[in-house]
Amino acid sequence: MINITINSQAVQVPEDSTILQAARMINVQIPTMCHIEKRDPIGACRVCLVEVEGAKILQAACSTPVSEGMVIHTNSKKARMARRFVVELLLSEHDGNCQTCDRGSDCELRTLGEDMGISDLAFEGEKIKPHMDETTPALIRDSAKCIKCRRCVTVCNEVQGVGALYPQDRGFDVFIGPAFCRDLKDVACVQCGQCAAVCPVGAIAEKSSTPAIWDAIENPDICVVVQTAPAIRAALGEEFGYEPGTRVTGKMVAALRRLGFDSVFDTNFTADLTIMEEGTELLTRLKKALVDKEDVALPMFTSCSPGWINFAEFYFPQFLPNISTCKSPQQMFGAVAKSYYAEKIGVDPKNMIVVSVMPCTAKKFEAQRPEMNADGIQDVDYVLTTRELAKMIKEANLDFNSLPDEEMDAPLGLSSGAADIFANTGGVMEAALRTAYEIVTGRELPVENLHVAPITGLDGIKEASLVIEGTVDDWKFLEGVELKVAVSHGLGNTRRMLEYVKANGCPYHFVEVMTCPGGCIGGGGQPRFTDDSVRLKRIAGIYAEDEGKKLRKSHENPDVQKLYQDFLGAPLGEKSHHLLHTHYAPKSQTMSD
Amino acid sequence: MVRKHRDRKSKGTKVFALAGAVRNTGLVEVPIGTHLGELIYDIGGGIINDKQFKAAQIGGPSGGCIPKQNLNVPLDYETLADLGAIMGSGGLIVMDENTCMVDVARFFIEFVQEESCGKCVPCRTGTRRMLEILERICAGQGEMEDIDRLEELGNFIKTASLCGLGQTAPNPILSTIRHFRKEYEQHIIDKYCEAGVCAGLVRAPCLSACPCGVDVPGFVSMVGDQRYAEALKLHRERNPFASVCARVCFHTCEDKCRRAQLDSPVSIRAVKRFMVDQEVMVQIPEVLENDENAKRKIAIVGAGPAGLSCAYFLARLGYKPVVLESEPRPGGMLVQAIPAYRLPREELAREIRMIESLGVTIETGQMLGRDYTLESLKDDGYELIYLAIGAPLGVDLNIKGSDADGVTEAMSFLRQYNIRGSVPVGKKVVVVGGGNAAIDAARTAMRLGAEEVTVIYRRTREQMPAYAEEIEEALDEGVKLCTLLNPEEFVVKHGKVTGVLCHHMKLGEFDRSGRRRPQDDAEETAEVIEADQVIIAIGQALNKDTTVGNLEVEFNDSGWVKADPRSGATSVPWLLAGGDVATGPSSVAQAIGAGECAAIEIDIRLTGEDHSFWRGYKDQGATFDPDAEPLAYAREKLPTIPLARRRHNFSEVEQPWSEAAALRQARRCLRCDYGKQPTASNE
Ligand SMILES: Cc1cc2nc3c(=O)[nH]c(=O)nc-3n(C[C@H](O)[C@H](O)[C@H](O)COP(=O)(O)OP(=O)(O)OC[C@H]3O[C@@H](n4cnc5c(N)ncnc54)[C@H](O)[C@@H]3O)c2cc1C
Ligand code: SF4
Ligand code: SF4
Ligand code: SF4
Repeated sequence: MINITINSQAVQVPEDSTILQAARMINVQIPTMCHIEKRDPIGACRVCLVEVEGAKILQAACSTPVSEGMVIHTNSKKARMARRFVVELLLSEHDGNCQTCDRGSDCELRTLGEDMGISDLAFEGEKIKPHMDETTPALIRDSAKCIKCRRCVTVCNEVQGVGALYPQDRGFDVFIGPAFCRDLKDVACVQCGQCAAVCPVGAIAEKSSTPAIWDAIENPDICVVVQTAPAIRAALGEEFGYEPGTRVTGKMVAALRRLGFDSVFDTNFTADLTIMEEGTELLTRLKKALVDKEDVALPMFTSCSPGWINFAEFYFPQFLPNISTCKSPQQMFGAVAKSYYAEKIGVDPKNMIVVSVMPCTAKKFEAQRPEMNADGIQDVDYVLTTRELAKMIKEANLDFNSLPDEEMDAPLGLSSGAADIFANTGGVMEAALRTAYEIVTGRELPVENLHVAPITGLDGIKEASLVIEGTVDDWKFLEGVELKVAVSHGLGNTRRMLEYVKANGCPYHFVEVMTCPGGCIGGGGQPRFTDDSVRLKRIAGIYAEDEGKKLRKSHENPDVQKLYQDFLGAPLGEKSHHLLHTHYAPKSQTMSD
Repeated sequence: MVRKHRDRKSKGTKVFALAGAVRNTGLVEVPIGTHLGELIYDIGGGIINDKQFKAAQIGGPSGGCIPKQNLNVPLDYETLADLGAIMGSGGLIVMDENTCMVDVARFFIEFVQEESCGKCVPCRTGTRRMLEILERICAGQGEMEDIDRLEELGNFIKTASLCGLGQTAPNPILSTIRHFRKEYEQHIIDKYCEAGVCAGLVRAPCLSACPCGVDVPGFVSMVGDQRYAEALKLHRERNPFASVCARVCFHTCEDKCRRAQLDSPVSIRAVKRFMVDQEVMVQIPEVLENDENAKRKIAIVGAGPAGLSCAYFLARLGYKPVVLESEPRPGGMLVQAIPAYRLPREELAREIRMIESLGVTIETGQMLGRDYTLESLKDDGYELIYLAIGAPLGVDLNIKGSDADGVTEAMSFLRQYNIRGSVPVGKKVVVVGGGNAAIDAARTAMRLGAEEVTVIYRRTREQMPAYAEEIEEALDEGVKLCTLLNPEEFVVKHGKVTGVLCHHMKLGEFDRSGRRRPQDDAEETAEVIEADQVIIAIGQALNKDTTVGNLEVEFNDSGWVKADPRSGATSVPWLLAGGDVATGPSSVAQAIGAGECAAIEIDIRLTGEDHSFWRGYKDQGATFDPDAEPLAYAREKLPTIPLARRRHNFSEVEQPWSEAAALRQARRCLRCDYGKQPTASNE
């Protein structure tokens, strides 16, 4: 520990802290625009400048390490004026159109300007060259708004290990985007939207589907079915002033109904269905490997996260056979809704529109994949992010906070706690283990509260192993087998894991991959701003939702069982195969080639 | 080349890359601590074309500029830092008087802009905003707040940028503001770029260099079209003394003429000489009769070019000013000091008569401080008074023997001859000084029968303030010139001067005027120059007491009346001042320009509005083909009368051109103004 003084307050802080970290320890606020938690500071935005006694120039708090005896002023006139200049300069080049910007009051630049009391523009001059990139189904980049903070660059390169965004050109002409001034569709962007999640301004955002959805709702000839992903319920409330992690499932259902959706269903339902299919697929693969000695691709990877699918297609095509053939819960839902449910209510699937509310931008991409189009009928028509749903609720003037708690519709609204935890890292794996273990042994997964502790939490790569004992007859060949599983979240971690597997062979049988840090609760379409403290709160909310349910295991979901009885037959059966499974093919890293 | 080491804080040598307006460019290695002046003059060989040194940019684009007041500074890290520059890469760009410092700042920040990596906001956007502000100023769209903005932004960028590039990028701007704030203000307030560089402010560099704002390309090209009367009328729109100026003007226009970059400047003054010689009956300019204005009482004290110009422009607005002059003849130095062989008196008289004919009254023999005071004029009902009495007094040299018989002073010497028609002249005359008065006195003495005239000057010939052409003529006429010689005492016999004991000088360190200061040369022994008459011409002065009496008028540090160069406003609300009385000895054109500014100010004060209809640009419609190659004629000088015909008379030395020569020369003009609209208010 060393001694420093911040704003006349003497404090002891760990030696390796930066001024920013030290200040945060004692709740001294220093604004930042380019900083990303746990990443190397880049010192680009200069809004965290502070005065350090004895230093000739102002110091960037994010990148300056503390030293013994350091005396720091975060609010001296010099520091305040410098911050103000930075913001004034940014505003002077910013072609923001605040009046119509998607960011509205959650724009960090605008907020900073307001906080500093900047009421008129000190500088006039050339604005940033505008460029609109609307080439992908998920994202829009509006370069005129970009403040070049490079958070997206850090996230895309370091957190996601993708590297679709870079700073280009020099000086005033610098702009942030794909290499060689291309558009996003022409590079190997996985559409995860993590860039949009960290962008402090409206320079990267999801492509909106709202107008089309309003039209569909208004059309009396169309049956509009909505599904909501598990991660929404623990985050949507943030848009209405609730603490992160507050569960607003009931209000969300009420809101969706009031927005005019004909049926309000749950993606959780098909999450349970996914476990049935994917669990069976895993056991089948294991059987083929262990009993039939077939050359079958193991480990098996989960397939729920569309950013991960894109990532594998671009960068690790050799693992494509390892990816579960199951469609993601979103797509399974669409397929089931437009077959089973449409049939049930007597609606021509062509007159049914399936809307999903997802924490994710890559889901927008997934929905329009050709693979997700059985017999010319698109499984899912439109995808809304959590943020977009919040906007629709606001647009409809619903007083969200005073809405009653309502229940999902049947028959695609019932779900187990295992489905809820699809929302966070480790959740799909845990849900699968809860079901698979019980199928194989006839007994409940022998862990406390059904939680597989080693694969919870925010470590980037997590592992667990489980010796299978006391198998029932059908699964005797698994007796004594040590089932090894791994979980990764964030594509940067995933890349590390896959590189390891490539180099050292695979120790695992089953691997869960989620594209976004923390899993879907940290998705690119979630309310801003998501950092680890927010992630942990949302995860806690999700686990609470799980634990509050009587049904905690997917195979116990009676409506799923009924779906098999009435319609699908058995997991991995003919109909499932047709509706619920698919295959992916390698993609060139530059799509236009 | 390694020079001998000096004792300074930083040791060792440093390689400089000399570039710009210096004769010898290239890499030089010198001891740290070498003086900037030595580097530029001794090693660099001085400024190309003997232009004046203005500033040096040291340390490349992130460095700062050092002005001529600091030629004497040692080039070491500490000193440069104190002056706002850096040693940096050792780049040293020498800039001459034709450099605009605002433009220099703009250029460097533009360069830095391109180098900026664009990562941090201060450098990426801040330097762009600075560039834009500078571009605005250079285009004549600046405002005074822009200077503060530049300083604030600059200081912010220095302390807030991520790397050294941004942390030093504002240096050229901050240092030009520090050392050349006046230039920024001229760009902003006067819409004037002294160096004639900023395209948005400068319709043509000559025009912009003229203190009276005469439309040079306009009248020159009309002469080229043989529209002589119109050309002259255009000239008198801004300067009534066309004929006077055709003879004595220092022609700053030619110094800035862009044709010099091709071969040599247009002979603007000589073209003018041909033009005025075509005038038979003096033209009367446009006058706005105005009964109201005619009733206002305005007094002008001093009938020199400043006072008469003020009267001329007031009269054109319908005022009837009164000019009070102490001497028996109006004209100021034009009639009292400048000899007739340069300015025939009839030429001057003609233009003064023209001014009188507009309704101006000139009362001679009316001396301020003797016959009236400024306050008594006020009491007599004069609403506003323009003080334009020039710098009438000579300055004595207070050394041993200066009270001896035969020691006189140039102003009285010249005035006595020019006004009274005769003055005692010795056989062996020594003139002390290096200005125009010294040369005119020498040449006058020569004409009045002196056998030997020697001008002694303590600096070098290049440093003489007298006009180079005049020195040339003087030498041709037999005047001897001894430079680096300083009078130490006058040798006196029987109360009469017999010689001047002189010390040899050598050039020492650079002083604040950017010239090397002369200092005693101990290796040379003193010498006596024989003389029976000594004329002291070392400066001019003003008697504060007789000028303002008890009236509290502010004076500046050099002893001249403090007046706003833009309006003539002094510290007294009803008193304006201009010309030499406010600037110290300057030039005819400068005095005329000052008179015009004062006339406008007087009109504004009396009517609340600016009616200066003569200002502003009118297309003269002269023939010009912008696509044609410039005519290849070389510059020509005016012919002069032979030396033999110059002794014992005051006939005009310079003779006019033939029409063919004049047309040829007029057509050399490149018409820099072509197709340009001015922003400048002064034009
Ligand atoms: C010898 C010499 C040669 C020069 N040669 C040139 C040249 O070639 N080109 C050039 O451009 N410039 C030249 N100059 C400079 C130029 O003459 C002056 O800068 C210019 O005349 C200044 O004009 P002015 O109206 O301010 O003052 P002045 O010309 O000095 O006029 C002032 C007038 O006020 C009068 N006056 C003074 N005191 C009183 C008083 N108490 N009461 C009433 N009236 C008073 C004076 O008699 C005079 O008439 C020369 C100067 C000198 C001395
Ligand atoms: S969506 Fe994801 S992969 Fe694409 S640019 Fe943004 S962060 Fe990178
Ligand atoms: S797009 Fe957004 S996150 Fe990326 S650099 Fe621009 S402002 Fe920053
Ligand atoms: S070429 Fe003509 S217009 Fe250009 S500076 Fe010379 S005289 Fe003036």
